[in-house]
Amino acid sequence: MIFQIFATIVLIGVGVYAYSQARLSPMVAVFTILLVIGGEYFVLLPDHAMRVAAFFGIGRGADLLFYLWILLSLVVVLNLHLKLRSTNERFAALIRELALAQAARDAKQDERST
Amino acid sequence: MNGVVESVFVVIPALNEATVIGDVIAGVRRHWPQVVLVDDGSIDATGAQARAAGAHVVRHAINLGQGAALQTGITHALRLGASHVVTFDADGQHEPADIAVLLDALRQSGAEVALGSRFKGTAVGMTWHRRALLQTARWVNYGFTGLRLSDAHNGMRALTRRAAAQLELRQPGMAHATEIIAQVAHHRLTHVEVPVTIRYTAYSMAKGQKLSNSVHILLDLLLRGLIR
Repeated sequence: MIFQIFATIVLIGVGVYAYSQARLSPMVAVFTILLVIGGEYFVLLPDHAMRVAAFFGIGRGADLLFYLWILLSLVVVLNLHLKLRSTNERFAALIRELALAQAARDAKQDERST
Repeated sequence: MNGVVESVFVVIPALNEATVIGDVIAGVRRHWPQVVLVDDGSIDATGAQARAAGAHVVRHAINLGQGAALQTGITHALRLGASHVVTFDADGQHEPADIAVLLDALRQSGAEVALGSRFKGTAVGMTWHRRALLQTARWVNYGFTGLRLSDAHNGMRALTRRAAAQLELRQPGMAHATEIIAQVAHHRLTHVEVPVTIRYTAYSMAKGQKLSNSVHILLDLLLRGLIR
């Protein structure tokens, strides 16, 4: 029971945070809230995890949650990778424009001094 | 002819090449005065040496990688009015005389991109494992781009202004070599392979690609190929 209360508090916290950030990234917010609902369902009704696991041909409910955890982690890693890549590209573009602007200034200064 | 020489820009990306860059630029500038040196965040005097040797120097505030440096150099050359852009490595393994060979090939064939090939030309001092690595890279390149070339990762290329303007390199590191070929294929740019000479020295071998780096390049290409 103690763990159920703790997990519920954490999940509610995550859900509230996701909702508050929905304007920034609606897809991530919806995905997170669905995860929170699914997580809370299995926290409150652990027997159901066993039934769902049996339905999918997995031995135990704990195994089902473990597999789901791995899949979700991969999705999160992929999402972070894409975000990082996009940030790096924008960062490179910024450094490039700064470098080109400086080169143009240097060229003008050289022209003036000759 | 003088006008043509003046509008050919040789782009050299460089990172910590202060010991050789002055000679490399001087060698190029004997025939091709317009050299753009992109100092990719060097911590030595690469930029100062290049400027002293008469190159246009563009400096990245931090190191971004050779692909990003090439893109910066190409953009700068185009803004300065380049009619042709030649890419050239900073470590002294290329022959400046081959620049004319690449440009002649462009003119004679009417192609828009000339790609240097050490396997059609000469590779002095190449070790067997580098040869094996480059041959593997050829096939990886073929898999990603659909273009079967004899040399996948040669830093010497010549592009017409139109072709250079279409390049948009997003691979910051060494995977840009495959990306350039992929963009040549994507934009249906006509291309020709040209024999060139590469002279491996202890210095260039130390600066060159490591096997571990090749694995990173492959992973990078796979990820970017899967997620566009």
